Amino acid sequence: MSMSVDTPDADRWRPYLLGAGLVLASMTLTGLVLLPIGINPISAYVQILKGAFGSLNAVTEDLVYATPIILTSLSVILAFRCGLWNLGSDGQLYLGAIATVGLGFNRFGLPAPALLPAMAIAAFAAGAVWAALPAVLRLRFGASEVIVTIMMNFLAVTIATYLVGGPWASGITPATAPIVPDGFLPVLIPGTRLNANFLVAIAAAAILSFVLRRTVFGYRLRTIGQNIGAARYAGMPVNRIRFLSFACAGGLAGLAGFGEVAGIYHNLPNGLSPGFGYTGIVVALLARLNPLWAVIVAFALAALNVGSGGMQRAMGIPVSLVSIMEAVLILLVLSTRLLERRA
Amino acid sequence: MEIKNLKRLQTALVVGTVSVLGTTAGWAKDAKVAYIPCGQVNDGSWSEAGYDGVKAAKDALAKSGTNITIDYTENLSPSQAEVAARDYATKGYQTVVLHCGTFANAAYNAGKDFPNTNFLIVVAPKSVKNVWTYIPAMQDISFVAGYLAAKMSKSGAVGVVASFNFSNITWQAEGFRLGARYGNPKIKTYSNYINSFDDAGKAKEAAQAEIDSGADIIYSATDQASRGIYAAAEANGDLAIACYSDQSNLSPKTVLASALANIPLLVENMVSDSVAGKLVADKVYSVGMAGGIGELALNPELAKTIPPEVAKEVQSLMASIKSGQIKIPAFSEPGQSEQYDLNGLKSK
Amino acid sequence: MTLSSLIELSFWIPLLAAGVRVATPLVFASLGEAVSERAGILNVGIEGMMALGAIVGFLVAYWSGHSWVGLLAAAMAGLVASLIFGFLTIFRGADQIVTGIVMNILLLGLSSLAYASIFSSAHVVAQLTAIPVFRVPWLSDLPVIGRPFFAQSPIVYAVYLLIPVFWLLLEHSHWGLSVRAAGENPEAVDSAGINIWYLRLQAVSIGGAMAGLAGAILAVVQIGAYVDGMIAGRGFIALAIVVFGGWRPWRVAAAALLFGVVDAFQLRLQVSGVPIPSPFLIGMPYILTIVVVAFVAGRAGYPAAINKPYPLRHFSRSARKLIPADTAVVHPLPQEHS
Repeated sequence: MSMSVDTPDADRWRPYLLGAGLVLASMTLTGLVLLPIGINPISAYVQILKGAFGSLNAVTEDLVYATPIILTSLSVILAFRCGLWNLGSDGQLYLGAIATVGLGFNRFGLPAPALLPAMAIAAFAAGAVWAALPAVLRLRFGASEVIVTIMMNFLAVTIATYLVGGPWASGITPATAPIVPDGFLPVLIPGTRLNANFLVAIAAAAILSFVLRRTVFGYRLRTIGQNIGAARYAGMPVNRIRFLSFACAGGLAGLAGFGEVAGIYHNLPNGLSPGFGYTGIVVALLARLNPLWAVIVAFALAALNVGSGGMQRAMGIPVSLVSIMEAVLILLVLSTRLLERRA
Repeated sequence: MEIKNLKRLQTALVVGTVSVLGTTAGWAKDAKVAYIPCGQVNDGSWSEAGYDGVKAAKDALAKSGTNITIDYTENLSPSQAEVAARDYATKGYQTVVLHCGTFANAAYNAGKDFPNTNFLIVVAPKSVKNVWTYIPAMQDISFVAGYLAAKMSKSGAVGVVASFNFSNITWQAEGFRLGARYGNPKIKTYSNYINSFDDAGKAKEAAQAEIDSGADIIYSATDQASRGIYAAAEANGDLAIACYSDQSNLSPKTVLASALANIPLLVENMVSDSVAGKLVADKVYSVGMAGGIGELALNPELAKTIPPEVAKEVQSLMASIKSGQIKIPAFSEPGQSEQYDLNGLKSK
Repeated sequence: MTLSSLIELSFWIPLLAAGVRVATPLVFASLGEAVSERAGILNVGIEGMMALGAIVGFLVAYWSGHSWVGLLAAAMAGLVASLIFGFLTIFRGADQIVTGIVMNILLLGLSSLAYASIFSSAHVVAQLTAIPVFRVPWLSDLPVIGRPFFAQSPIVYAVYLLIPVFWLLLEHSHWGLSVRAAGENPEAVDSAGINIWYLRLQAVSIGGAMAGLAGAILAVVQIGAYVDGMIAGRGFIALAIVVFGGWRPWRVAAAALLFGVVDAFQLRLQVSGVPIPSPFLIGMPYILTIVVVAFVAGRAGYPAAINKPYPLRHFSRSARKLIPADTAVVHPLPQEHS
């Protein structure tokens, strides 16, 4: 969100004022829907704030929910920045989760300190492989990565369901057998669910931001995204860079799956991802493809989600109303020109 | 002034002590119960059945003088379910019912951190301290449904459409197929897994695939997607048997019967016992027909098409299972029922 | 039934019939989306519009007692939703994919909320009366193809009429020519004096109406009930089928049929005695789509102007002419063809 140095102060604050105005507008709109049902919108919003920030537990839950979203949004950002759409971060997340669980049974008898890093690397690799196929099909055959990644999402869920019900079944619950305790991610704050994958996500955002802005690779990547003709003319190995980036994007999403398995569930359950991949796309756009902003936006969206859960519990508002509220807010944001870059 | 303050302090102490004592789990006079299902409480299927049970518990407890308030949260992912369970426990809920197989971890994790709250989780491996698992042993009533289907089948083939190959669902599907063999050793049985709870279109095609292979009665083990099964059965003039709840009114001409797992009854018993503090430590409440879980609700319109001898045989079969004379095994793998020796059913 | 029965016609003819049934809602959604994409608008939100069509179609059919009224209402609901989508993407320059995703969230939530608020329990909602299968005389007796294609629900015959209509509309009409040009070379359309924004809005409305109709066909005609989550990804499948079919109506329909047959195949295998097929067998339709897209797209990709909003213009009183809107819409997100 860079502005030129000589922008008058008023213009510099305009986007933020506009953003605040939009939030108010969408709150009012939803309030109008809540009133006929007999719900006081102000108390509903207060409940959301309470649910999101009312206790240490609530704040850590915000961070827990934000972690996979940060990683999937980074995945989408990395792909976008070199001109490719990654709609497959959900599927890459599942593959990462599958790899994590597979290693997590520790059938190979890895020593305890090596297990967790091995699981993380395997998750990254699995996600990268799952992204490599659409990347190859796109760069070599021109196949639309939008379609291929969506199909790979379905395939990933099919594989996960098969493993949960079949070879890796736990016996009674709709989840795989648990991973060994050596494979549990350490908890950052005792008594909460905040685990080390949150730090992994923050680190990934910092690293991605650094790579994009301060390295040659990042410079080439951005050039490819902004003007592919110029990149080719300058002799950059365009396809190689794009392939590497897309694969790494898949790896980032795979790490999200790693975090969910090793940090939260300690197995692979049915219904692992409630659409983290698609939320990541929305976050990537709202953050205007900036990795550091993505962390903030992901946290905001996660807080909204966790807070709405609290509101639902406190006031009995149907859960679908909450997703409608979020969608209305984002549509309002989209209706402004806030998110367009000026020429 | 001082005397007034002292009096206020006294009142506060008394009120405080009473409320603290009153919220101790186990013998509360007023208790809060939370219900967290897989889906929505009005889905006409699994989640609604559990909710009916909680409501029934409320009525039953009210008769004995205990008032409970019920709160629920719907459509949660397994991770969010844990957040909800913890939140309810923090707010002093006495019992938290997690009515979804995928919420097992949520129950155990929350149970560890909140020892004063009772957690009830369906279809989980074990009961530990303040977490109790309840398992409706649906293979019993599915067996009866299969028996009925085999007796009523004119084509000599019946089928089951199931959602996922998860243990407690596979028990139902294989139980049905075993019961069909028991009713007619020469019967052909089919099973089809659609990998979804709500894809009614897929359920319809799965049922149609079985119908095209000759089946004329289809058993549903698919939650809300069973609507597709009824559509397929209606289109071909065949019959269907529903599960979890009485669904005769949904498709009066096709739903022959409903295999009730009496999930409401099971949940009602669990919640009532939990609030009254009567749950047995570390006991897995796996309840089949012997424990009252399992009833066949016949469609009043189609009941007349069942020949009286068949109806009598079904009744005596149910009685045998209830008394324990016949034990129905729980198969977790599709196809296992085909090789099972029917003589093994009768317990010695 | 054993595996050897796989070589018998009695396996393939019902499978083909199943393929036609599965393909029917997909064809509706894909034909509409093909028109929209040809004009340059990629609508990822058809999943949500199908869900909206399903609930609206079901509610109206339930209350009015007539299925066709429900279908009509569903088409209108899909149209309204696509107008919102079109406004945001055509007139406000919003990114099409993200807007589509958010529309999905909105419409899926709305459908779920509507059903939950109106019916206290799914128990009170009886199935709609099924529309009987109509056997076309003589044609339905043809060997092999007779039963699958000519002994189906009447809505299938509507598809047979719609495919040539869309083909004529898209490939052989003035309007279709403008639409196709709008997707490939919007500047040319603009300099020809055609209102390209309005044209694109028309195209996307057709897409939305067809998507709503597709959802209603699933709910009202095929199942006879609304179930939360019943669309189950069909909207995304339709996106794939459009590419699979190369954006041409006949091929799109053929692609949908192929997809339907492959999708129904593993269900019939399970009945033949394969207890649980491997995930790759269950995922065969997706694998097939990936393979075909990889080799179809090599020859013809998305229309060149997909996901590129065309800059708006406004009339300037002082200059007394149309000038470009002062925010030049340089798209922040990548294009399909780069």
